[in-house]
Amino acid sequence: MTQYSSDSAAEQGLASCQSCGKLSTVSNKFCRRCRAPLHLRKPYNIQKTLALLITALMFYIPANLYPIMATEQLGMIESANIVEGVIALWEMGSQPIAMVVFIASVIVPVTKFIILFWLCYSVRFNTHIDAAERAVLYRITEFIGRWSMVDVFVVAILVALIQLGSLLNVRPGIAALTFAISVVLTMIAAMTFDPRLLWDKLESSDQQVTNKLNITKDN
Amino acid sequence: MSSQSSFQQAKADISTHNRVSKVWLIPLVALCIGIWMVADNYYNRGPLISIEFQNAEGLEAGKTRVKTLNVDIGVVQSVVLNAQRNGVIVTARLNPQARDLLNNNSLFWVVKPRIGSGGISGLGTLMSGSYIEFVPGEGAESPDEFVGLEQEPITPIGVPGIRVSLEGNKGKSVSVGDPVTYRGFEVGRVEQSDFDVKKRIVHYQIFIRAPYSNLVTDNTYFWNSSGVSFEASAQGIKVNLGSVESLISGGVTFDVPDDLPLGEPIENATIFNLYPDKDSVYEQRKYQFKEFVVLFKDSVRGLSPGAPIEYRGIRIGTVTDISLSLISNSDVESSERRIPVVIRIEPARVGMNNDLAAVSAIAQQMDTWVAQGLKATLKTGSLLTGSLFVDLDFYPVDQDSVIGLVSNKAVIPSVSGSLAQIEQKVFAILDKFEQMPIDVTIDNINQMLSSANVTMGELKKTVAGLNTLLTDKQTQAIPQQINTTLSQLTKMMKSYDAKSPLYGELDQTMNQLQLFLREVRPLIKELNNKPNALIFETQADADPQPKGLNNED
Amino acid sequence: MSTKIACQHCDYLMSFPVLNPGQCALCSRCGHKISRLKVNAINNLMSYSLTGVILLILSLLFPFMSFTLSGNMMEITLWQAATELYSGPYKLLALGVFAFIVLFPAVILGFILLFLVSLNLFGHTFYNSTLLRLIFTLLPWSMAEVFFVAVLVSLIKLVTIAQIGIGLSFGAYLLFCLCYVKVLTLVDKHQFWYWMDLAKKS
Repeated sequence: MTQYSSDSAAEQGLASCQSCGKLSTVSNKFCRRCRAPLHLRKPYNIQKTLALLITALMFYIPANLYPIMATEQLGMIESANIVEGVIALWEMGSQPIAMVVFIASVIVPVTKFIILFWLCYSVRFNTHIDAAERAVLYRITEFIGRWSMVDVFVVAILVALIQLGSLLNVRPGIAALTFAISVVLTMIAAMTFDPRLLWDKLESSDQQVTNKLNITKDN
Repeated sequence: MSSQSSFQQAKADISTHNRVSKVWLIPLVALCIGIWMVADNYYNRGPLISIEFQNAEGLEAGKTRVKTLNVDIGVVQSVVLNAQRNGVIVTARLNPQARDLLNNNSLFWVVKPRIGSGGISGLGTLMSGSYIEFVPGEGAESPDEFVGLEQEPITPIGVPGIRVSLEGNKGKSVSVGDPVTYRGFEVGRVEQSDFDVKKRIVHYQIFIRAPYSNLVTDNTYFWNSSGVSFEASAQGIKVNLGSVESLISGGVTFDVPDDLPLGEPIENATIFNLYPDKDSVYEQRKYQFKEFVVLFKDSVRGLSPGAPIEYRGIRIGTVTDISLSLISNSDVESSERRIPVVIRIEPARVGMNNDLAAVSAIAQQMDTWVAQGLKATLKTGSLLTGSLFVDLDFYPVDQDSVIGLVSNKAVIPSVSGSLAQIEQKVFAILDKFEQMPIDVTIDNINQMLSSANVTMGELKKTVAGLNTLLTDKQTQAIPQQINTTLSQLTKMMKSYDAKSPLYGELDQTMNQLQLFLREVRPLIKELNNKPNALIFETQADADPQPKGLNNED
Repeated sequence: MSTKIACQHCDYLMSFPVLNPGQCALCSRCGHKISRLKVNAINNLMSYSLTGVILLILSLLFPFMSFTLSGNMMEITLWQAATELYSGPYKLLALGVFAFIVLFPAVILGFILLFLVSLNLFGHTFYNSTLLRLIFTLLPWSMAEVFFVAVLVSLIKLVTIAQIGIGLSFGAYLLFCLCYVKVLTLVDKHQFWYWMDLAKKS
């Protein structure tokens, strides 16, 4: 029994360069094409991912508790955190925008946390969940990560744009920073996670595919 | 091997595509549009101007707007210290359309919230932040460096009207922005006020708006319109309150004195005198005059230049000078160590024309009047300070009744002051007592007492009638009517309660009045200390006139 | 001739042929898109990258948005939108936003352009692999399109309470985003390295 699935490159001592994708024998230590260090799997990636995730979570909690933005209108300061902002938008009648903000700021980060924690757990405890399914989850995480930044950018725009002295002005809240940090950390966590681990525990008998690449006509 | 060839193939591919590919039109178009946009923006951008201010309070680079009539025409780009480090230079980029508006008479000032005598202004900027107001003005040149005003100009540029300079040295100062009124109607504003240290006078520049500028003629007099005028006279105390604004800050008012013709309208920048109050206009305005000298034996303590010359209570002139130097050493003997007082007789004060003809007429008449017994005497004038004035009147002709000459001025003879007159008066009173028909008076009293008896009887009847009236039902209803009236009054008073605006105004006025009364307090104190002045004055005034009249007859 | 490659997502070992334009290679185990070569990819990449760079520069020069409320107007440039936060307490956030929406997209487009131009003109150069590594490291961190969505969100947010004006830069940035997304569809890690390899061998 090897550590890797029978059809993997790692099984044959070949490592795919993380930077350029070139396949080399792992004994080379460094990729000959791009000089990036070679590993069969990203070292300590589960630990790194978990560490980053937990840090991100630590930043995400204040991001939801503290105001993301403070509106000062005629000397009265009103501050709202993310959820309050969404509720306010919803009540103002701009439900689509409220949905966009809610998805970007709440659903996406929470989904990302859940998926990444679940992936780490599944790899660590070797659960027999379909690898393809988990790969799809991973790809979703990678794709949606950046869209959480929408709320941060909205704050940046409003802060820059709404500066009418004491009549109306907008100031960023501490949550804007912690939220941005949290998003960046989850993005790094997703990058650190090595999706190849998901496939390592596959039995060769499970595979119903050939070692043939699917070449399709690109639309 | 084959990868090599495929690369060459790919490369060849690329080069062939390079020649024909339409995709390169995209960056080309983008570049063209970009260059056009930049060029258009560069050539069509508005003028860059610099404005110097004393400080940059409220000005922010990139945010502070430049506005004219509340229309945005530009934005401040940078705020830097000037070379001398005593001011700031504000650089602003204006819209292209603003280029035509710029000229050497353009004005800039920062609009920020201000609380001044002219009221509260720029409240809107409390919320929106300050902005630079720009008034185009009209001028030939179009510079790009300006000096900003520290304050909003009192009069908007381009408003027709005239500017008049005033000079004053008395009274409370008038501040910039104070109203200029004509018979209580605001017609302009004080634009500038500065103190001339050398001459020790205050210069004011006032602006009077167009239709009213015709009111200013060469016979116009300006005076300080303090908010409250306080006048104590035999009729009681009269307090005049001006408008609330002038109550707080005073102002300038003007008019043509009643005895003067309207006069010709004046030019810009004519200089006028600013009198401390309306009375001093009449007292101090320029009259044609003839100077005389009076030599007094009495002490002239209390007599000061500006004191009135009166003829039986009618003011006919002014004391101009009290000076021993007027008499030369040789004259000393002849004048018997008298004090020379120079007086002016101003014929226009008594309704004669304010011209030289009237003056020379007076000068000629004086000889006759002196020969008829005209003499000058010192009298106590002021109720409060015991200051003196010069009274001219006719006295019995004696050896003094000739006109003299000191320092080329005619001398009006004088008689001794009040003490001698009191003596005369006491004698006169005693004479009257002597002449009183006391017997007849006692008879009269007796008659009066008997008729009083009759009156008492009638009074009894009246009281009885009154009793019936009081028991009458209608009379008893009167208190009830009073009651309703009172409740109505209470209702009315409610509208004066603390929240109503009327009350606010009233309150303000009352405060002002209180302040004023506090200022008046020393005056009243003095009045208390010197009641004798009052009594003395009335007594002294009462009698001499009939005597003079007798003499004249 | 085909080379051996491993899928980056599942480490599946496969032989990999040279793709023809218009072809797309997917991993047969996990379905990961390994490579895609669009027709006329290099030409399009260069022209769209160039357009993108021009548009991004343009969008920095002009007003981006303006905001008018009861007579008071506030106008910002794209530069300010990214950096206005810097004057506040969260300088890190300002730097991040600036990098995500202006700096990284600009660097990526510039490097793509530089890589392709130098590949065409000089063949293999010593900095090519560095350029490629930088491009693909920065790629996930460039969020121009996310920013544009954020702009739209703020627009709709504000339109109800004040008058919002859009400036020249807004249009320029919109076009830039379109170009940038177009470039993203054309960028392919495998192909880029492959082109470099070809230039190296020749």
